[in-house]
Amino acid sequence: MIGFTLRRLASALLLTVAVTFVTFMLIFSDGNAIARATLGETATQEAVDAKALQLGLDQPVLTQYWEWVQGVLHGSLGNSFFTGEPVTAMLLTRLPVTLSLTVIVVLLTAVVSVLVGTLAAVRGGWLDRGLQLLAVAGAAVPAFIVAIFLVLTVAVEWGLLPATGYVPFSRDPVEWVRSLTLPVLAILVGSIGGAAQQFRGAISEILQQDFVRTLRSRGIGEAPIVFRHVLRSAAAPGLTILSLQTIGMLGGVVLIEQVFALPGVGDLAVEMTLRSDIPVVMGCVVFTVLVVVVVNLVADVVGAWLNPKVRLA
Amino acid sequence: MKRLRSLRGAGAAAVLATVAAVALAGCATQEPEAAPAQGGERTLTLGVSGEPQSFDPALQQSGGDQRWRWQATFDTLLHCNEDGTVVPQAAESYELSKDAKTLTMRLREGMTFSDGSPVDSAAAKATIEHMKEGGGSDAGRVADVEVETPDDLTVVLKAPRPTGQLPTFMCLAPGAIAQPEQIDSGAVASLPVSSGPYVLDAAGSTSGSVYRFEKRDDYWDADSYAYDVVEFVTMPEATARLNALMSGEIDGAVIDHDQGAEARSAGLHVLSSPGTWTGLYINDRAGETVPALGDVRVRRAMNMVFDRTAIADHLLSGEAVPTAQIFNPGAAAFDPALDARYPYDVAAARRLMKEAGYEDGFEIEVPSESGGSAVYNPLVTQQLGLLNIRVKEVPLTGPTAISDILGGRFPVMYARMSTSASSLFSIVEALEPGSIWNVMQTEDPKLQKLLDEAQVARGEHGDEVFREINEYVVDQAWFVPWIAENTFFAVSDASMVPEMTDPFRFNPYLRDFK
Amino acid sequence: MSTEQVVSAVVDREVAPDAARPAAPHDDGRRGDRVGRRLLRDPLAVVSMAYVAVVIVVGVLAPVIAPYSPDYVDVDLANTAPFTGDFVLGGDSSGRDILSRLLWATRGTLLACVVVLVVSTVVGVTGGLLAGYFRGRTEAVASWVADAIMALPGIVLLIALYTVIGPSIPTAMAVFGVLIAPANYRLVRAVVAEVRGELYIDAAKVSGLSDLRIIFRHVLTAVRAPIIIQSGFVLAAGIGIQAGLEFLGLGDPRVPSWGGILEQAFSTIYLNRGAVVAPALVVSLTILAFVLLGNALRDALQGSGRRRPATAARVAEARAARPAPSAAADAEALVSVRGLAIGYPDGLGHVRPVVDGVDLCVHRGEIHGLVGESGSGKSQTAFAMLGLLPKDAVVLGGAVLFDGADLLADAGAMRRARGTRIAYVPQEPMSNLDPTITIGRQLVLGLRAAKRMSKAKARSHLLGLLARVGIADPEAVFDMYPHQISGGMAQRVLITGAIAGDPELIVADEPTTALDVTVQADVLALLRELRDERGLGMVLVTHDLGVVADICDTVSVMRHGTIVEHQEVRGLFAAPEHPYTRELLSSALDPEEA
Repeated sequence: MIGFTLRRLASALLLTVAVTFVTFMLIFSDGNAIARATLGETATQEAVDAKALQLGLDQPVLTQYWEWVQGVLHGSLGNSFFTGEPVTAMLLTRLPVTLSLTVIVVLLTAVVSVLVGTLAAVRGGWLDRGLQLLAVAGAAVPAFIVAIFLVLTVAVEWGLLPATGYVPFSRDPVEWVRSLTLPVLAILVGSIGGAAQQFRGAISEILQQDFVRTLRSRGIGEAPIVFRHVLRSAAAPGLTILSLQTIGMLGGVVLIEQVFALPGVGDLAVEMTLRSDIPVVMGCVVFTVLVVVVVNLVADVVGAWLNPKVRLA
Repeated sequence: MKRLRSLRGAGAAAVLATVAAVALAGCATQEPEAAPAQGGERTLTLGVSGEPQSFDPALQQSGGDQRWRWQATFDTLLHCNEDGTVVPQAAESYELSKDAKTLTMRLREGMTFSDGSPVDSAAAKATIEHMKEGGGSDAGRVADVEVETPDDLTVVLKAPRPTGQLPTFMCLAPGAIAQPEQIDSGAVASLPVSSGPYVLDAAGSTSGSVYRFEKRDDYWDADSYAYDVVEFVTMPEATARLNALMSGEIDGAVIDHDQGAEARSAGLHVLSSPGTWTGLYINDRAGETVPALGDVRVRRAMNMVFDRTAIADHLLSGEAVPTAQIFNPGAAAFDPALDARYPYDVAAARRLMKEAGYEDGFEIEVPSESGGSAVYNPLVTQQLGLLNIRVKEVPLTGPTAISDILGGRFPVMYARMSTSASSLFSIVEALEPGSIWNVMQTEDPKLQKLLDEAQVARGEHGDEVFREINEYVVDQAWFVPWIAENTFFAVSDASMVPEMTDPFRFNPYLRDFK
Repeated sequence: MSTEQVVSAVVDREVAPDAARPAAPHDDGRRGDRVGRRLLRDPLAVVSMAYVAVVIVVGVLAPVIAPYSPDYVDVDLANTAPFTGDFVLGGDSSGRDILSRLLWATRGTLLACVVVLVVSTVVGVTGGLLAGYFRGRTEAVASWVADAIMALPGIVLLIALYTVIGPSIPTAMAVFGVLIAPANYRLVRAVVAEVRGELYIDAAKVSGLSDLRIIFRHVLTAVRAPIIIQSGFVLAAGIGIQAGLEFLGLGDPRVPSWGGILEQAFSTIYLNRGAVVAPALVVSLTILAFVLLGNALRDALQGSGRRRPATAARVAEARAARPAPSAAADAEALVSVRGLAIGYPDGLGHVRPVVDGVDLCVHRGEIHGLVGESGSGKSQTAFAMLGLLPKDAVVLGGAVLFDGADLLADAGAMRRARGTRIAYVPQEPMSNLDPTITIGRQLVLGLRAAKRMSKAKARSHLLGLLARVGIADPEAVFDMYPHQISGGMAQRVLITGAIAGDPELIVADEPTTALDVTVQADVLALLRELRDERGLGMVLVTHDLGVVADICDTVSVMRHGTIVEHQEVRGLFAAPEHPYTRELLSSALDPEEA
């Protein structure tokens, strides 16, 4: 178990390095132009040159990447080219927004998809067919389009919920819920459909297995079989399903944050990429990769732990 | 929703409301006393559209609703009224020399910063000099100004050339007064000591999202400010601001033109008046890169292929008036008669083109960025196409966008420029060879004479000069203005802002909130 | 459709590998016809194919069918709502006709689709082929790269790309193709790895074909179907991302695009709320069409899926056609099966019988062997006696009489009997134990479901039983997981589980087939002992006549769903009556018979 975990950690680290490197290379562009952009249109060429020097933009790309890595190893993500604010601070202000959204969606997805998927697999019939339809439809329509429809109907036409904006929990819990309702719904439609469908597949699969039949032969009822036995076996694949959904969701969250004007990390990434505010973008990338890595790691490790073969190895 | 892109930032800087009433009306009257603040703490919450930068006065801008933050913190030497006139503020009196090169201001006695240190001429000088060096976008205004402080309460500005806007500049960012020690130490950027009506409550603020200010009772003009606490909430999205207004989360904010009706139907009070002109800049009026544009007939023809009324009524849903001028209808330079100068007449335009020898047209490049020019470029392409002018759209991306535009790469470009009640402001901004928005630095001797005179002319005579300039510019068709667009400021209740005295008609001064 | 959906289509396979086996590489030209026909029968497939065809036609003919040029501006019609004026679907905020722009924008969409498809297929398939075929380090590296690509923040990269090279959707789509190639890669690698083990590949190698030729000729064929299926999802994802990028404003403003139209409409939603509907619908429907097409292709190419269930009419028909059960039940028998008939849907709406009138009697203490080849229906008969028939089984007739009740007809009686009075011993020991729970806990749960008793009592009872069945250290085994014990021990555990409830009848389905030869004898001996001790009746399903000879008292021989002979054991071996029995016996004497 320890060995397994360590190997996963090493792989995760390697992944982080690779991803940050590629991203850095891709987003770096003309250093002088960036410096000028930070100072505004009226800045003199000397000021621009000085700024470029100050930000280290005159150095070769590889050197800049290395500097950045060193900064990270010392715990600092650097400062924004444009506002000079520490990137870590900027991320921390934005984090609660993205995390609120992501965590709520993941939790709701997990709960609902397990329920619905299990019911569909066990009962079959119209529930199963309905789920398949929902999964297909939900998977088809991108979350941001669902979001647009929601905004059009719920917010603009009926005026029930705010169309955009985020209210922090600390300012007003009720408004916080209201401001997150539509964004969460937009993502949930696709997320639940897909996860429930896959979970149903996993449960179906397990229900076909020999040991389930044997358990039935012992006189154990359907309900205990499902809850005590089937779900246990489904836990590992369930985690994989959920982790893939979560990671897949990250891309969609960026667009959702744009549609609903939520000041989250994804939104920050978009803004800053367009401005070539490299330290901030790299900070966002690190955040994303960390999420991916942690989610994968947790899913892998917990999934492995749940499997007695690996746990006791 | 659409974000302000980096270029929009430039646009916002363009909406750089810069004041500049020059009418050297001499000493203006004092501001009437505002109603005294009521008992119990009153909080005003405002939505701000811009990303907050630091508090460093050198980096502050003179336009947009971001002004609130620094205007709360720093007192300015002078103050501009809604008609553009300049009146005393921290300086209790001022005098601009006849040649418009020297501005002498006398500070009030006994003014202090929030930490007790004196607001004196040394502080003013330090701040102005910091503005010159600080690398901010407003630095250009006082780039070659020298400051002298003959005594503690006297500040003298000396400009090498006639600069009629010197008093106006002192209402804007260059006129702010910050504490010299803080400037030196750099602390002014994050925890500024206040010379203005409010002081930042860092503990109650969240960087990047909410800024809380508490009123200073020791401010010399505290009575003009009705609210004890002001909070600024960062909301770059107009729709987010609108929602926050409707839900009561904020009391006031700038909104977009397409939200006016929505806001009103939600019961909000919307202050609206013409505050920008929208149309085309013909940067290459001298014909350097596109010779055809050097011919005034071509430029006039371009003015005649746009149905301004239709644009105002349909593209702007009636929240604009057609115009052919680049001046605010409330400015002295404005002349209603000029709006009729270029009727919508494609046939006549074609004749002009033929006359000029450009029947077959020519090619031009225009910049395109989503949200702004991208919305109007199709119309531009189609209409100019009627004159065989082939328009090629160039999408702008990345950080080079600003320098491309300001570097004069484009002979023609869409523009949406803030206008001010002060004619001189608009004149200088658009027409002076050195100004940023005269991107190809066009010089015209006839116009220059008028411009020079505008710097020193005062009163009635000044107004005449402004009108002459306007007429010249319209006649020479340096621009193709289409409409004067309204700006919109929404508040939850009409009684909150009985009157908006911002000369840019963009967002009310803090003192306007009652 | 986001990347996650594309990948989850793949995960479906990985999580449930059996549920979607790749089509076996018996690829002859006739498959195409079958696939085509199957597709046409599926209404959703037809609709989605028709829609895609329409989209393609529109893209090609846009200049002809669009009412206006996409750049035509009529200021008077700016911000008009749909169905109110000359612009059928409304005018956008620049004054252009939304319908025309949507039609013209189809071209860009199609181009983007092609780019994404080509890039992701080429990259993914090549990588998957190499990794799956050569395995080892190649696979390790390739898989790691695939994981890394999947971890890349797609949107951020695409936006960064935009700032570097400007708005170029084809380039962005190519990059996106690389970003989702891992989905194809995984799919292909799994298929290739599986196929590679097939005999014919080795045969090809032996006959001298080079690796490359093997890959291209044989392996690619196997991979065709999954890739085609995946294409549907890839296209759907591509359209989604393209729309997303354009919605962010990163598209080329000079070229109409669905996402761009959507973006402009959304930014003025308060002015003209109807304008967003058309572009949003178009994008959604197109993505939906591709996803449905992918699903339909999967059903058609991989055979599984919409099989027509047996209609009630057919079932009633089949039931009515059955003769009445012969001979009365033997009152002294422990269990009496009368005229049992079971069928399954044949996929075309009819019911195909697999047990076609079976009579069987088992008395107390009698070990009754049920012999036959695979497919004879013996296991089905056994499951029917236990009430463990699969969901799609159709009981066409007959009865299972046990202690006066017909268990087939009375579900309650069946439930009560199962586990307590009738028990089951399965064939494959390892797959019949819940791998996630300890053996002790499983046994306790099973016992307590059959009989009310305290945990402690159950535990001690079971420990005793485990000892009785020959397990050396029952307490240790109690705390072990199934994977930690041998096959023989597992089978003993299963037998323990069966007898723990103190049943009167045991139905054993090939209980020794999966065991080593040495263990087989032990387990059979155990069964005999238990019968002696407890007076159990047993139905022993087997294809192994050796087992029959070893412990059975009576034998029923099944063939094609009916019992062709029933005799006492010695009599059967000495003087088989039915020619089929004789055949069986003679082949059994052959050393080849396993």
